[in-house]
Amino acid sequence: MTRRAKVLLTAALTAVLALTGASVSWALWATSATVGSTASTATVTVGHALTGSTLAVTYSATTTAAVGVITVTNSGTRSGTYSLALTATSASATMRAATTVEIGTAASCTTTATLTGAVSGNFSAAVTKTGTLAAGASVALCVRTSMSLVNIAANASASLSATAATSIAVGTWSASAATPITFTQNVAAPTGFQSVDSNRYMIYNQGVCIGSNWDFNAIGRGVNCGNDQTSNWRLTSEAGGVKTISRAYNTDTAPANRWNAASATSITLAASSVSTAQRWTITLRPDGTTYEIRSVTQLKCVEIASGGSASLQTCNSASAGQGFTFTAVANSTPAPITLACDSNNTNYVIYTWAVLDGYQAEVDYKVYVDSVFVKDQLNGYWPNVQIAPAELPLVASGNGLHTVEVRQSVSGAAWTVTGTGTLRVTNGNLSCS
Amino acid sequence: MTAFRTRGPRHRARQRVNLRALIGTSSAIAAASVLAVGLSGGSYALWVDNNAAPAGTVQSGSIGISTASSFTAANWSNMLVGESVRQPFTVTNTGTIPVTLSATATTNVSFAIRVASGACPVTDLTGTPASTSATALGTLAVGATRTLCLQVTAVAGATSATNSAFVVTVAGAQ
Repeated sequence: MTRRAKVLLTAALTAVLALTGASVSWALWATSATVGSTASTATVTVGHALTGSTLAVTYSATTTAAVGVITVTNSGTRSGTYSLALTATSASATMRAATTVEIGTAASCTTTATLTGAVSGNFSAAVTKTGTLAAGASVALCVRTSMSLVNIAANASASLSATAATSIAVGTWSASAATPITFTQNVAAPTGFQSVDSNRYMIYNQGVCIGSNWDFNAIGRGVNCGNDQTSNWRLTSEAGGVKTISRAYNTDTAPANRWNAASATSITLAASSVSTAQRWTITLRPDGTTYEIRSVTQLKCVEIASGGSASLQTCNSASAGQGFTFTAVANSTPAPITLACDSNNTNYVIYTWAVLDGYQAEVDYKVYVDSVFVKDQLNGYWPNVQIAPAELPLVASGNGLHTVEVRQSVSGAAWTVTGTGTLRVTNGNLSCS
Repeated sequence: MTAFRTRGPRHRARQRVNLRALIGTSSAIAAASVLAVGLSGGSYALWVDNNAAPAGTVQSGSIGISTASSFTAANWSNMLVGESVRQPFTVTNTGTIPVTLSATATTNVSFAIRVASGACPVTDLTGTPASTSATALGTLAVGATRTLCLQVTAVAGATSATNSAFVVTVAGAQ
């Protein structure tokens, strides 16, 4: 071992011993203690419920609004800003714009209530009501939707689906009600004029009758109103709810000239045909009292100008010139009566009923015994029929009491019962009962 | 020495060299042992002549701290992002030497915990949270008690409806 090696060995041993012996004291001079607790963040939740009357509605001339109470509840642990948004999910743009939406509070949520703190709009965009709700608090919001009569008419048969979605924002957090409230609103189908085919009608615009010029087949307001031949009209129903409008008066030979959409703007009287130019829809307008007369082919409405002339114009339910009323000349189908019977002579009996005023020349009668046709009475001015034993059908000629029925038809319209009576057959002799 | 002389000249020379090496090595070991024992301290008494020692006591120092808190946990509940709530607690030096204090904390990621020396201020504590890295709290004298402020903050990105326990560790070092 060299001297240098010995010196290094000695130093190493010295260091090992020194460090090994000195290390014991280091761990003694550090210590610690703890404290602790728990912390939590706020809970953010919200709920909603639709109570009371439903927002589902069918708008019509008599129902123009719907209401519902949506209760929003802050079910979280901190105050927050709620938001109730009504949004259309399915509807035409016209229907969306036509439906007004209001959200507010009211002591009683009705279609006429004054809403406090209300927001309003239409379904073209979301209508949103916001406010502050303390933790655990609720607010009852009155939601009202409505549609004007004009818009009801313009959106007939349309529908709209909508949702009411609720959310709440608390600080940087937000939450939404789990399930949106959904509802559907409809608009009633057009209300057509319920005419009776056998009736004749006077048609009025702004209180003045619609008549016609006999020679020129023109129609207009106040034209020949004093003459039933030029100012009585028959409304005959066709398939699909359309009607024809034909000149009519109390005659056995029915005139047939009809209202005819001659072009996109003109209306005349023309000979009867199957052309759709002679088909019209007659629909109640938003005012609930007047009707529009719309061409099936031109999709335009009859309008009476200030001078009284008639033309076809774009339908406008607010236009006075396009509003018409109808008055039946008389009731062509009165309720059935009990036939008066005269059997003074046992060789025949006579049954009598009332004259059908206004339709004497148009009406035809048929007489049935035990539902078997016996004979006609084609003169409406003589409302009676005489039945002799020889006229009775075999099935109705046996002894006993038989049923007599008189039926009528005005100008070719469907047959209806005028009156009923009895007929007794006794060994070939006839009596009333 | 005599024995070394009775040997032939060649043998005598070798014996002289070995003797010097032995003496040198022994001296080095002795010196190292003295140094090591001296540094280690504990066994030094072995080298004291008990016949000459006077009566007395040998006593080492101690280090220790304790904490005391009366937190109201509800104060740290229902928090929103950005909200901070502070509550005080105390630390006492129970040892015999002054200690240098620092604090660390463990908690959910939705919260940040800060610790400061002194009573809780009205305004928020700022700086790096103790839940991120240790916070220095200064020196505490022997027997002294100091009030510390513990602040819990709901941090950006916190999740609502989170409930978490947390622990603050106050360390004392010489």
